[in-house]
Amino acid sequence: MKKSILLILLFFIYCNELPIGEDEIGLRGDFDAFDIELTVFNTFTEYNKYACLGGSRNLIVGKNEEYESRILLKFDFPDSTYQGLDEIKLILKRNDNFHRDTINFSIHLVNVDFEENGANWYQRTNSEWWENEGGDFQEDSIRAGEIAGDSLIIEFNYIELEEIMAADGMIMIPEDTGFVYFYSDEGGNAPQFIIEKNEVVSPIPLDVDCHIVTGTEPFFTDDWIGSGMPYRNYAKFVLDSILIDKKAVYADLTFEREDYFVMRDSIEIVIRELLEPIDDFNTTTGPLIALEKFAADDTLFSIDIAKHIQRIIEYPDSNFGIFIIFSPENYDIANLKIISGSHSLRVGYIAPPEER
Amino acid sequence: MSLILVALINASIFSIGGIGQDMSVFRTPFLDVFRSARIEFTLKPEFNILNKGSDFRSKFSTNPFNLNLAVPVTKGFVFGLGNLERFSQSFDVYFDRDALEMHVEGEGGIEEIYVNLNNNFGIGEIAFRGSYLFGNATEIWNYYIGDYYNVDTFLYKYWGKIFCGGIRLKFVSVSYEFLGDIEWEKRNSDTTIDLPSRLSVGLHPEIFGGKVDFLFEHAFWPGDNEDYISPTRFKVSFIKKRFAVGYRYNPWYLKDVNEHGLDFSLNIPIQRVGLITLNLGCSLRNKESLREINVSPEIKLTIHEIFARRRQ
Repeated sequence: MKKSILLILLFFIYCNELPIGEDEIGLRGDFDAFDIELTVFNTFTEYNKYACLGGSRNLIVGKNEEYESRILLKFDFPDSTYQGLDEIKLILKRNDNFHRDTINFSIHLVNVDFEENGANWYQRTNSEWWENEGGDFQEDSIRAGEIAGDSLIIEFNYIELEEIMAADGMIMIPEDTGFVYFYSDEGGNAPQFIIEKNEVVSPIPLDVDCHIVTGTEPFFTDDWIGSGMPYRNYAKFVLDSILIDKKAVYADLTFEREDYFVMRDSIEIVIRELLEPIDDFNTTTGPLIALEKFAADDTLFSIDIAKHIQRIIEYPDSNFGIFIIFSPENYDIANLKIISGSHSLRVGYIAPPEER
Repeated sequence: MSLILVALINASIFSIGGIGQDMSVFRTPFLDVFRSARIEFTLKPEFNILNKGSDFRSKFSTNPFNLNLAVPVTKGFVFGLGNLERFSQSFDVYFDRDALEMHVEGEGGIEEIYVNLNNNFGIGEIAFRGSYLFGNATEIWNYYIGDYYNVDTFLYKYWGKIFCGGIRLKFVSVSYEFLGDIEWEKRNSDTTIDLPSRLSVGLHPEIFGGKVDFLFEHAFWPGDNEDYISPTRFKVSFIKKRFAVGYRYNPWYLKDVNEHGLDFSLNIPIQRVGLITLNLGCSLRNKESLREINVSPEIKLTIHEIFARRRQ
């Protein structure tokens, strides 16, 4: 019995990964690794200042020298009057994934209707514009205060409740620098408007929650990536003819950071391939080519875009370039400014195996 | 456990070439069944040990169950049905050269379902077999350069046919396999390849109180195929009572691949059921300095007259 076990062990002891018989692979091709650096054709930035952020998992209020963000809220009040209420309050829960700033804010009533998926800094719906960029609201605030804790609770009185019910919504405006991230309905902890009477709590259904952002517009030649105010960095490389009929094993796209603004510890950068010549921010892109997570303060970024290179090897006429994008573009307000001329792309390739 | 075994696959490193390892060498259309029905189930696990210089690497694998059914129908006629793996395209090999490392895995191959119609006419047997060939194979090529990894997948699909006829008179048998071709669907193209015709000549004299089987086989690969050779093989076995021992020389149709094998068999009758055949096959395959030692303990369960017993 012991001999049998030893024999079986002997068989399995050699279950290793030695390249014995690698010459047999030579029947299917001549395999060696090579690499080449591709020449940059051009890089620049496309941006969308009309981005609608109603689908974001966060509601952001704040401002600095580059951005300002305001929160729009609308609750669906029933057609009735309230009497004998004990409490009327608005609750927003803070998202702890972001750095904590303490800022002052004010809440104003909005004079016109707006849509969650149509509102941005310039438009209140997909087809209608604010009269004033950043929203049309009453000059006098209905409430003001400071955001400091884990959640923001604002209590209202009867008169304010009547005004809120009569208005088309509310807007929260930052009064000093810094940013605060609250959860949105999509983030799982939606803003709540609560009416309490005789210890019975009645939540008012949320109709619209979103934030609107304005940000710095880059020069055409700047290389920026951004979210909130989304910047897409376009890059195109010249396909070297030596790569034709080759298999790209890797394509290491690298670039260096000049400056950044991020309020969390890490960022995710994705690469999307353009399916047609570059036109604007909304040029059609294909599925994800690559997704990499980086520390927010990284200075050198490296992403493998072999899928893109392999595709343009197979279809050289489809080399329309790539977008380097933050993911998701509506999650937060952040940017990464890339040192111009720092893009580089090194491709490792082999002669592909022949089919049987 | 058996499910795990069935899920594993046959794996000779030389299967990477051509259309894979020919699993049907030394196979004739004769059934040796005339009076009673028979069902055979065969399981053939394999242990492959690769050797080059002082390096060794082993691989355990098995092919799925093979089934063979033979039923006498009327006046010496026997109908047969079964399946087997015709060409194995399973392999597993690592490659390491300078900055490039590769791990290439192949799985699948060409399967065969066959129908036999044989006739026993007293002093001999006439046999005819028609086979439908089909199957899929997958190759996964994993590439590693430094910390980078990439992968290619090749998928092949096959379907085709082949026929075989033979006659046995007393201790001489001759059979010929012919009209074999395979439609081969690849990623970017379809192609048809002609399978080799195969002539087998057997001598089965009775000596020393037992029986000796000589089998010579020559495969005729079509002349326009420069990649393959047309090998001549032979096998000799001595069978006495419940024991058998044999030697086989099997040069592959792939250039420079040779195989020498020894087989030992023991038949264990099971009363009122049939027979268990234990076969231990040992082969040494080599191509230049690369050697592959193959040990395959085959287990075959033969059940006789199952239909007759049920009627009782």
